[in-house]
Amino acid sequence: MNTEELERGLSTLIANREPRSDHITITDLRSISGGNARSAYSFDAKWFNGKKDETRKCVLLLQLNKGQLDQELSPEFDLLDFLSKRNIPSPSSYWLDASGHYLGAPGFVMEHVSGRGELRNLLNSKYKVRNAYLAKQMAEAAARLHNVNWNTSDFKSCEIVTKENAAIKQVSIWEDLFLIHRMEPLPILVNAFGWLKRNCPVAERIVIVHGDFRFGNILYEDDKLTSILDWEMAHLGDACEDIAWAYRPLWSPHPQLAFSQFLKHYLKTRSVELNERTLLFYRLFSEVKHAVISLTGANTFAGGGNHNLRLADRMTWTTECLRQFYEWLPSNNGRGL
Amino acid sequence: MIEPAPSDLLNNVAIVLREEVASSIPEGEARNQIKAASVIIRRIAKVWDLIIPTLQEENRDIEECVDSLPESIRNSVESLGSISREIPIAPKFSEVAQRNKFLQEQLLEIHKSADRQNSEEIRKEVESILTNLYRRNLAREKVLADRG
Repeated sequence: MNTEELERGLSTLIANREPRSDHITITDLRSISGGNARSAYSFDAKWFNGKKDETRKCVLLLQLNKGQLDQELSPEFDLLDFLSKRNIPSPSSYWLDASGHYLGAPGFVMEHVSGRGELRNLLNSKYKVRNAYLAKQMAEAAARLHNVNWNTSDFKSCEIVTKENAAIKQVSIWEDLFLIHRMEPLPILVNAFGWLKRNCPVAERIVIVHGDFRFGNILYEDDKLTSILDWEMAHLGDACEDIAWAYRPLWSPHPQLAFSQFLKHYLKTRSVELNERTLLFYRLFSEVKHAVISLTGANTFAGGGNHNLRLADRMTWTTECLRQFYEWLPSNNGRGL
Repeated sequence: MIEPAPSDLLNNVAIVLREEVASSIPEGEARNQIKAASVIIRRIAKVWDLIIPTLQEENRDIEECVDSLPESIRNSVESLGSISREIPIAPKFSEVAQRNKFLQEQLLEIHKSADRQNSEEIRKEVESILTNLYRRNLAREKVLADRG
């Protein structure tokens, strides 16, 4: 779709989703940086709602290519709607086109939250004071997310799990992806999955897990965290999963804020004890998960499903993740942590 | 002829792509693609000559490891048949890679066999041997990664 076609598609989508909309105009439509799977655009939408003009600053996420992961859009769309009513720093969701009927590809429109999201700056010690302050806000946001009561009638975006099966469900999801996308037998990863399956912890409590909770997925303005982005891997599970993921060596805020300080701020808002063994399990799980994400990206590129050259050499990342996994693996090889 | 050496050739291509071609293209997807291609070419330039010897060393390590396993486990890989351990003096990548893939299949069978074992002691022994093997493989890969 060219720009004009996309503008027309957006107008029709809005007309369909906002029953009393008239004189819809789409302006300033432009491509912005998206993820590896999605193309992102910003634009302004304006319409007359029968009484007055309404204007919204928007972001459109479109699933044009196969990516590292191809998640369904509806659960993420519903979750953003759910969270925006609960004061979690996340964009509100506006309009969904799950089939791509209006936009030429599956996509949805959400609120354009102001702020920047530059991991390089967030890890730059030149801005350490600001970055540490942002990391503390990130800890608080995680705690608030994990405190959300999801057991309500308007929550419909995630599969229900139990304390007993939360961990194994996640391990199985990533193992299934691994088995689909591996390009060689990779017993080294089979062994890692074997260890995870034998050592699944029981969750203290089931919470909403962001699933990609890290410094690179926050937006900020000056020293204020304005939003958390990229909710496509959100699910119900164990809070330790987000905490472990946030402090993976690849993107850890550690030089800006020590893990102990991050935890201190997290626990100010959420008074629970995080089990150390569970945390270690999820640190190991995180490395395997990222190994599979990278492997999936490399295989998608190799199969011609995506031509993004950043995915082409991702198997080198898989090796890096596995090195970390085997470094942290308990020396008794995990007959119980 | 040995000049330009493949590493120099690829490295120079990567430099031109990054410093001249990419910088002459406006910011956007095309420029990002050129930069990404340059990174991959530069990495291959640095490690290409180590890839076959590293894979050969890994194959030898896996073979020795399989030989050292308890007999009850070792027998489990017999169903996969065998391919010759004889390696030409100057093997092609495809020959070493084919052997490596066969050995990886053997390791998968060994994992399955270990899981079926009634003896906890044997299972632990196998897991320990294989985990150490994987750690050595990753250490070899790290040599490549550090060079790249």
